[in-house]
Amino acid sequence: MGIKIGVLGTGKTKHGILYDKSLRDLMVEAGRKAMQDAGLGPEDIDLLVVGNAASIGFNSENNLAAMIGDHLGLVPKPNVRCEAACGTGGWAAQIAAMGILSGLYKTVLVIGGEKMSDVTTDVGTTVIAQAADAKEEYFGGHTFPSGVAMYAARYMARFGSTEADMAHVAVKNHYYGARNPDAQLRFECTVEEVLKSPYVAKPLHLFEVCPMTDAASAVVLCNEDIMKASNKPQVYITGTGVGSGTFYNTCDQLEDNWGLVKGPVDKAYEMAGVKPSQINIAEIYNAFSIQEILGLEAAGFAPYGEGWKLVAEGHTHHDGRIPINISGGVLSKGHPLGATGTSEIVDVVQQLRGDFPGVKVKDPEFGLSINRGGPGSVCVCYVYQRMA
Amino acid sequence: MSVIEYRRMALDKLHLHGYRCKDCGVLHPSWEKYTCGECRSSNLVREDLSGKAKVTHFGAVYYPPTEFKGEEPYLLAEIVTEEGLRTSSRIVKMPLDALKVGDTVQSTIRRVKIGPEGELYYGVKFDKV
Repeated sequence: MGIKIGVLGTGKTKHGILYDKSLRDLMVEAGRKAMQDAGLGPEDIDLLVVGNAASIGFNSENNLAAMIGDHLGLVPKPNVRCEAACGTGGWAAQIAAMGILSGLYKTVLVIGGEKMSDVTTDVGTTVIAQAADAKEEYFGGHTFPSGVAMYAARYMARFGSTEADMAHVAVKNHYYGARNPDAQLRFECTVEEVLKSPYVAKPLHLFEVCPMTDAASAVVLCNEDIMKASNKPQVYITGTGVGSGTFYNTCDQLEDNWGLVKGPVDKAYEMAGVKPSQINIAEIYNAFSIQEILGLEAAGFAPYGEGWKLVAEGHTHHDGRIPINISGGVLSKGHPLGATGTSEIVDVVQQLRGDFPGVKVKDPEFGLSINRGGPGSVCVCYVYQRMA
Repeated sequence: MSVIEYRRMALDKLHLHGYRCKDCGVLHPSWEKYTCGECRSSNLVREDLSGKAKVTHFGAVYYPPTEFKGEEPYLLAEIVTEEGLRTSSRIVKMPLDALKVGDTVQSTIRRVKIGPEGELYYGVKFDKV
């Protein structure tokens, strides 16, 4: 089954520690930018979907979709909040896609947002850990980084890669993040500097781990008729796949993590009628360096166990065989949990339209975004195409 | 976790066990007690474990959640019990370089954390034999 969902507008705030902005400030800013880019006003929006992972923990706020809908002047239009850990933004867009493809809604505003800097690092780590089973598996002191570190260690033991090999992922992401005006960590680093940065959870170093981030990003999605009638670049979502994995990650095997992405991405490829070799730009979720490696392998860009070579040899740069995370990825751009999936969509669409504010990929036609989340519990993929 | 919630779970927290699927025979960690991840059966029975295990992978946490602050860095390990259960656990405090893949470890009851009101939570950890 082929699909065509127009991406009519995009909007994004800066990523960073934004002390002077609240969660609602960020989400309203991104939402307004997306509507303005789409050439629409609140009266033209049929539905608001808000993606937010943990405002109850970070900000003591709930019923967020109603709050943001009110502040954007969308009342009495329907609104709903979506939560799927780090996969929240991707899932929020999925709800919009379902509404549009069903014919129930013609235009949907999707806003992902998170405000994480109002709590200390240990409290933030606690809030994030609640997206896993904090009363069972994480009862004894596990954290998300420690769970991921465990399968990074498995990968290294099985495929012979080293900490230095994985560090190349951080080096590449920081290179591009330094050139993305919206990114949070805008500095370059070398392999040696990555390895000298302190461990967060061995074998993962600080520069291989995403920061906590304040940001929001938004897209206006619409049906094919509205997209065709607009004067906007004709960028469509042409395929999507969503899957789930185990809620418990400390004992997940590599195949569990690989399979979490493999199923949805293959479904998205099939729906869009494209092959991995056709993709010109990909944003792959990489809160930790190892996740970019496993993600690109599952997406078919490298054989299983050899993704680290693809990165180390420079094939994932903007002028390489398959440009990946030219935004700086989650590692450098930042990881505002509920906004990360929508940020991926914005970045890929802007690359396809040629108006991405950082390093541009030359004349891309097909794009891919992969938004995984939770301990290893969710993955949302989209394939995009720019059409004449 | 509230004190009353820990009270509900305490018997489980203080006795190392898993759940075995009576249909396919797979042994699961204690938290996977409703549905077998292998065959989707709900026919699971509790099974006490000996507490002997081997370390298959391990790592260390340097930035812990609030309730573990001050204990960093601490060791977490993936272990396989002699019954064949793959699970993970805190390792009783020891120098980070003292643990190796292949080490034999034994379960023990230890204090896991101190709650926000000073309440103590106990549970299973593993110690190098």
